[in-house]
Amino acid sequence: MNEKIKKLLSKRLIVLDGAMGTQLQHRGMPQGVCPETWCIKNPHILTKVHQEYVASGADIVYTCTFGANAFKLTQYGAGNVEEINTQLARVARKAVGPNILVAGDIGPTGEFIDPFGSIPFEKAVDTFKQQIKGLLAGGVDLLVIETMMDIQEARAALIAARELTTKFVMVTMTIEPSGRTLNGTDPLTALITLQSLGANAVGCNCSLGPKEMCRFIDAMKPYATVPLIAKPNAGLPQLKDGRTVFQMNPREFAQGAKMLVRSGANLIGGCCGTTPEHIQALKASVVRSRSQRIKRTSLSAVSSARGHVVLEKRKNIAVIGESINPTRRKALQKEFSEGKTAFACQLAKEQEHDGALMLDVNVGAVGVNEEKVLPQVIGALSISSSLPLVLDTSNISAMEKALRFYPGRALINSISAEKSKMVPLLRLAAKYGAMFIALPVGFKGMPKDFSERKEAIQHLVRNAKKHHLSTSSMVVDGLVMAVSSLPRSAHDTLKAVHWCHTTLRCNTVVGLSNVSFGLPQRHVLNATFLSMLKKQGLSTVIANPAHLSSSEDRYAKNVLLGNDKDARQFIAHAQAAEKKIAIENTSQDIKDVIRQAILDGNREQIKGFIQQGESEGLSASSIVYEVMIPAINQVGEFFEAKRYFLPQLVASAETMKKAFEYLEPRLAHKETDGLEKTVVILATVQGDIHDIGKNIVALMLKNHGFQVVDLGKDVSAAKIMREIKRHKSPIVGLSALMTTTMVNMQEVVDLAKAQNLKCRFMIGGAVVTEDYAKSLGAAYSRDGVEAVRVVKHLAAGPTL
Amino acid sequence: MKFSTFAAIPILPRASAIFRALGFSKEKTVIKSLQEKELNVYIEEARSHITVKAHALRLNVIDIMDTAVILEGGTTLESQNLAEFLRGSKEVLFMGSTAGQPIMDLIEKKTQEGDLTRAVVYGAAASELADEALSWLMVYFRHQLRREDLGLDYRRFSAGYGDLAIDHQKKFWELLKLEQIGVSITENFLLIPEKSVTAISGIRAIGYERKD
Repeated sequence: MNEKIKKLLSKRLIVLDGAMGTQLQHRGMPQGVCPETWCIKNPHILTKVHQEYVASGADIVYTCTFGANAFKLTQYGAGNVEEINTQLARVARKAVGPNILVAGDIGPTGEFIDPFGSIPFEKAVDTFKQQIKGLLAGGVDLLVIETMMDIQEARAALIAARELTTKFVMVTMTIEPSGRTLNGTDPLTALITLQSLGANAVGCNCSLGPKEMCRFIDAMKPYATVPLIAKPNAGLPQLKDGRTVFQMNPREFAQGAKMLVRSGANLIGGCCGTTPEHIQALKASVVRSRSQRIKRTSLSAVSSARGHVVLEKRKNIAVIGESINPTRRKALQKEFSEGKTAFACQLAKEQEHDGALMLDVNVGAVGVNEEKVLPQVIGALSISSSLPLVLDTSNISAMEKALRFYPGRALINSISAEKSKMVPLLRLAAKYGAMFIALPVGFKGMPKDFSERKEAIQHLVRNAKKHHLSTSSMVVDGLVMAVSSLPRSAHDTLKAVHWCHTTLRCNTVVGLSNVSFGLPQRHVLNATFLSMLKKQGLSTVIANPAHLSSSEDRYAKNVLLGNDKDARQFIAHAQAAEKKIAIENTSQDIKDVIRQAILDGNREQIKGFIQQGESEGLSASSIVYEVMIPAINQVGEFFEAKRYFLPQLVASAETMKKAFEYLEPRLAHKETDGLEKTVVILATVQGDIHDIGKNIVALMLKNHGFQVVDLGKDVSAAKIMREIKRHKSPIVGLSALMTTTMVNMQEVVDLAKAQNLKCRFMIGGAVVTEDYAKSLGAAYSRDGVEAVRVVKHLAAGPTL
Repeated sequence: MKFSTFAAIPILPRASAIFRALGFSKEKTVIKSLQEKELNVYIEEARSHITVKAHALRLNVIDIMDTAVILEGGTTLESQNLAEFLRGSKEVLFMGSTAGQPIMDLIEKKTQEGDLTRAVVYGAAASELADEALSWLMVYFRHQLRREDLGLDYRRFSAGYGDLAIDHQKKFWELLKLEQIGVSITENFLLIPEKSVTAISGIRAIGYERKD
């Protein structure tokens, strides 16, 4: 049957059927019932829908089993999953006869799969297997996994299918208007993952109309090794007379379908809002269209759940970050042995920032169970990073677990010619569609020269072919060794990389830093060797990306490669450098520099500027009174005029605080007389734990010289009373964010009155209003800037 | 009753939304590129410490009266505003999400270290992600419901809004089993970790969703 589909595809475009659910509802299926069990009770209606789609020109009909998995059926209390699928497949087969193809339809479970959800991956695989067994027993010709928004769920269904049958399997994802699935997978990433894992056709369905879907097909076509599917809705849903409708009529839909053909779709049908009339119009419009041929048979590319790297024809070497390896990191070893992953995620982020395009993941260390920990780390990294992973373990069982679980197309690090491991690892690479680093050792031990390296590589290529793995799946390791002990080895690596690039036409990789082991000036040797390897065609390097280039190089490289939108990062970096030089060399008045540092929230440099001011003869008091206080007042004005927003206000206030902490001991006693001496007690009232607003108020008040006693959050009225007594006639600032805790302000104020304590209250917080403050006899402050004004006003009031 | 759990909602923080929440005005606020870059780094730092978890629950509507909504299992939500909001719904969708405790611990640490700028930005990023998770859930359920010829209202309603008293937060918390994703509730109906939110929305026949 696979041959029949392939033969059809080689001749013309294949037409798929249209929407099923709405057709059943229009023919009497009540809302809220289980469609699958209703169809079993009403097979004549389902038969009619199938037959109408065939009469409209559909070459393939989908069984009515979209929700016939254990998760969905259980929600309706429906029984035997396999039996339901078998029965519905038989209805379809009987309805359309032997000449029309029947696709067993597999929809999402409605659950999210580990690592993106709580359903264990193997449970998902087993759930799909149960459904697929039923569909196969019912006589379907092929399988279709559709409307997937989670790539991991699509993988689970595809693995289930591949482990049960060799039949043709199609997979379609639902891509949102943003260009990604709801789970963040873009069409090309999905294609790379699914076609390598064994899908016979890949594409998208639902969410958008045919015209909008074209850009997804356009994105996939140049990289597709399989036919592409498009099953769009009848346009975008629009509100008409208070109802949501799909606005495309059959003629318009058919015109949109023609565009999909031009984009390269090989199988086209309809999803939500389409009818047999839409499919009929579609068929009529594309009946003479030849579907575009598939442009390639293989693709060198890896993917994660949310990103991909195409390795072919790269102009620049792709960096594989090497840091997630516990060998030289005790902290990582400890983390892995405790089953934790936070540090690994942090290292991933740092390497991504430094320019890595892939991440090598090695968890091998004493006390670490690789089979358990490697999938855990993969899960955590798949959530926190979009970089594809390079799975680095010599433990075959751990590798299989990792490959099965990894929600993308991985790169295996590595497969050597060592007999006992080569065959099982090649088998795994083939099964899970992974790329692999071919390590030319083990054939005759460690190769002594270039010819032995070549021999080992050829041995690996031959064996890979036996497992249907072409050279496009391989990344050959150039085998870098320390030139301090093997002076000829660098030369052999260069020759090997050149030979792989020009003769085998496959990708290459080196572990760069080995070359300089045991020598001084390692970075010079490494950088020079990398530059030499690049000239020989090296495609990837395993290294710490932070060591590969200076930050200036990175910024320049990013702007030249178009990776820095509007060159913003480059300009910011250059401006910062220029500013630094300007400050170092300029004759600019240091008072202006200090003032600007406060306005800019420049916490790192303020102390240095003040020291420079002192060295130029400025007194501490002139810096405080003539520069800093006017500057922070201006920040307050900017904030109130919305020229500054909150982080700018806080950064400036922190800069001021740092400056003041440095200067205060240097002020003569009398010079501090101008500063406020009033004590201000601050607290978030009992029951409330929100304190960021209160902390900002504290910072602002301190900057204006008030003595702040911050009692923290969730503070009892009794504790506040004790502090009021201790500090005698202070001002008390109370904060609350919730209506339920705001009432505790009243308790504090009442208790102070009852105890005849002499203090003034200021209150604030998200739910607090000026009227509420008045009702308590308290002052109100909206934010940190106003709080300073209010407290100054209260402090200047008559003595209580 | 249909219960769903989401171990990691795949959303990224939107700097523009975080800036807006912190008072950024497109027309008035002036920010230097270096300052903006610094704040974007903080947002990214926050993101790396946040895994947004969520629970959702579909319940049938038994009755909608003038001032109360009665749901499957006997849950009653007393609110005229909510009754008006849900009128015509066949079911309701409860949603709850949390940005988790690690980011709250980090905010506390940064506050203690005197790095309040970071604490402020981290807090805003966590709030935005917890809230954005509910928007993500609504799109997700709209897809799911479409297959059942059902639609989900475009707005959501939370305890503490209008006349839906804040004590309903406890009912939301219990129904959503938020304790299972590390969220507790105080006597004052405050969700802990702080950056946790809940909401309810109406499910209707497709085409009749409320967009206002």
